[in-house]
Amino acid sequence: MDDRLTAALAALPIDLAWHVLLSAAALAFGATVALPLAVAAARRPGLRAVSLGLASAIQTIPALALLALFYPLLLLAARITGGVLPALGFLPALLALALFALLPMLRNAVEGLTGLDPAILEAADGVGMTPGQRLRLIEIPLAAPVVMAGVRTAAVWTIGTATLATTVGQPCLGNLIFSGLQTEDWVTVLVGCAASAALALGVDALLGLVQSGVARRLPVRIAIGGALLAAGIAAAAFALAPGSARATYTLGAKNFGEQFILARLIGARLEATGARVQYREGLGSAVAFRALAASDIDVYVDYSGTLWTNQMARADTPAPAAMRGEIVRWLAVHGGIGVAGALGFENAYALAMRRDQAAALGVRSIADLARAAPGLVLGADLEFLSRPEWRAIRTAYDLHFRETRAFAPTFMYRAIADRSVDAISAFSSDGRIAADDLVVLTDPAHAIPSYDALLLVSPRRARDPRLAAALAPLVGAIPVEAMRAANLMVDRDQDKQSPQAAARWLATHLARPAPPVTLAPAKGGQP
Amino acid sequence: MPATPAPPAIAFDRACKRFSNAQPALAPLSLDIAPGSFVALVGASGSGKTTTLKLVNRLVDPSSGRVRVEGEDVAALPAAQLRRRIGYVFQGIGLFPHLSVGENIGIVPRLLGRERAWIAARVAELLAMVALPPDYAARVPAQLSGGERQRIGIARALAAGPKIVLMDEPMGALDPVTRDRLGRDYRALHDAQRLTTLMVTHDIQEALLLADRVVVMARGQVVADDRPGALLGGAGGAEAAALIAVPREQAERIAAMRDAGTRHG
Repeated sequence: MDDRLTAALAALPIDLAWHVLLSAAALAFGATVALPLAVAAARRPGLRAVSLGLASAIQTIPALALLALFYPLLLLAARITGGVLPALGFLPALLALALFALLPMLRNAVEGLTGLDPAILEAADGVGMTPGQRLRLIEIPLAAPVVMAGVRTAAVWTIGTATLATTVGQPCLGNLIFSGLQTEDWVTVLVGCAASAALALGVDALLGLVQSGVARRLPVRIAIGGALLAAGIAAAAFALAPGSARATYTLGAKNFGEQFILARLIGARLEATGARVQYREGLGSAVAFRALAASDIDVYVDYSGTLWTNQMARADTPAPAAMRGEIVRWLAVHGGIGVAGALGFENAYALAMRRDQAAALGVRSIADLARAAPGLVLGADLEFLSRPEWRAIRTAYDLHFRETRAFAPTFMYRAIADRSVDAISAFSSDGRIAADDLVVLTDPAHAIPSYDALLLVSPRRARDPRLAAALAPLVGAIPVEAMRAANLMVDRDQDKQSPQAAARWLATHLARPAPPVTLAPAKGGQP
Repeated sequence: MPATPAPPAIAFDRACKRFSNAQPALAPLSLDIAPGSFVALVGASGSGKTTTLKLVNRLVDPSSGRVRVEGEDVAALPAAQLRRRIGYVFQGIGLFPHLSVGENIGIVPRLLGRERAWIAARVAELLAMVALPPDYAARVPAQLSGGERQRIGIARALAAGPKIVLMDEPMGALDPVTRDRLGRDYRALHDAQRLTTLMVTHDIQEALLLADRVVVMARGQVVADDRPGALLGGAGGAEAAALIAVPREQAERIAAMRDAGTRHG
């Protein structure tokens, strides 16, 4: 069987189980808010207008944005209350999805309760029912089929939208979809999509059975549908129940292939020690860092230049060793994040040329390129030309190209291969550099900050001996050539591999853990 | 000294109902309804007859004045408890569509906390009383004809053994034959159970045929109040006479046609 399909199917049960639990919890939470609110709103037109208006307004927020918003909201709530709230993972996903599920349930329940025959309601009053008895004996049973239709709609929406929970670090079927999208691994994407669609259809069918049982007063249907739904939830909970008291490590990864590979590489090493590992993949750069600071994830790889500019808000570019030292001190002071070490390669912005053309023009550094640039065309990704790195390079080398053109990354590599452009902006660890026979030009003026890949460890695990032991052999052990080759395995179009397979390959191609890159005196950062 | 007379089953004491608009739905009304009597409230739409009926079981509360049931001021009684001791037959019948016939009939005893077995026995008894077979208890209202449904409505009103029954256009939706039959059956039940019945109808003919006393209302006021025979004799004044004139004239036309048919046939 295809290696990617095997990997995707291996990840499926846990992702599916999380997806089921998350969707069920969000629906249950949404229903406990929406249904009582609907009862209250059915009797008060003012409350009805306000609550339906709010629920509709929530629906207009893109689901992704709503999920993302809960991250800072929960951090803020934790700060205000002084308590500990997990800002990443299950809680924000649950809250956002429950909010999304509100509208269909609220709207249907209000419609069901306000659309009842007034003669029936007068009869209920006339025989001497109290308002509570009227609600329980008459209004709820008569409105139930319409209410159930709302629950069905909400269930289908929630199961579909729950795939986005990956972005706040909650494992779900979205993990397959997002990791597949990043590495253009369509097999994995399809497995995730198919599982999500099948789950939505299955739940819809079972809720439909319950609904028809409610509408036609057939308790057997309600019992069968309810029992199967409950069995599904129980199976999911069973699948996720911790098998033993083994230590569990949560590994984070940002949203591109190299990050997926490194997380799997670290995860395999931890699993080899007998630890349990879970992955939070596809995180945005800022989310990953804050999740680590909050110990929602235990380890991830970030790059010195990213930390320097994004977290420390620095604009200068000191020499790489000095920069690393400052970063380690800053991280230790700001929240007690540990740095286990540098992996040995950089993933920096760089300028690259075809090997043959560079040789013909005698270009080896950006300084050499500056002499030839007025006759050359630069191809860049969509972001590069507006980034501080480009301004720094231009200023440092007085670089003037004949023309600059922006491309989506895939097309940028095509453009240099077919000689439409002469130089491109590249990431130094990109696998396509080797594949397309490009050379990365050196930066003798150090205009580009260094982007050393650093192993960051959460405050909670900063002194964890097992983690330190698992990470130590990786320090300084990944040469850029090996990282490029592994990246190419997941990025290339032909014979594409899963991140796990690339991680296995990388594990057998580590450099001898020779003298690790020297880190400046660390306060608790180093193992 | 005569013994203190029993209080009226229902007493309206200058009861007035004014909805938000200026014209009162019901001008101050004073009316005593004797125990065991069958009183019909007759009038056109908007005459105030249904409002009068609903004042009795507090589906409507008076803007001023009082309503007493068996001597007790209804305003002092919790509405749900008051309603459970008064039978009510609804204009739209108002059977609960999701409950079986038996559950519909047994709803008030259930609210009163009666046992399941007691309710089942009472349902069987009531089905017999309204002349329906016992297996009807398991049916749902949608399976019944209009006349059967209204019989169930009457059975439901009588389930907890009330002394007073309120009826709001109880036979409005039925065909004339069913209507006549059901009217007579109910009147017999009224007599046998010694009920006090207050029935709202727009049909003067029905009122004259069933009731002991007919109260004619117009524009929120009582315009005539007498025994059927007296009203037919012209006691009720112009308004009542005008109401009575129509069915009487119809009956005379039919009689004339029959006579003509006999002559030519």
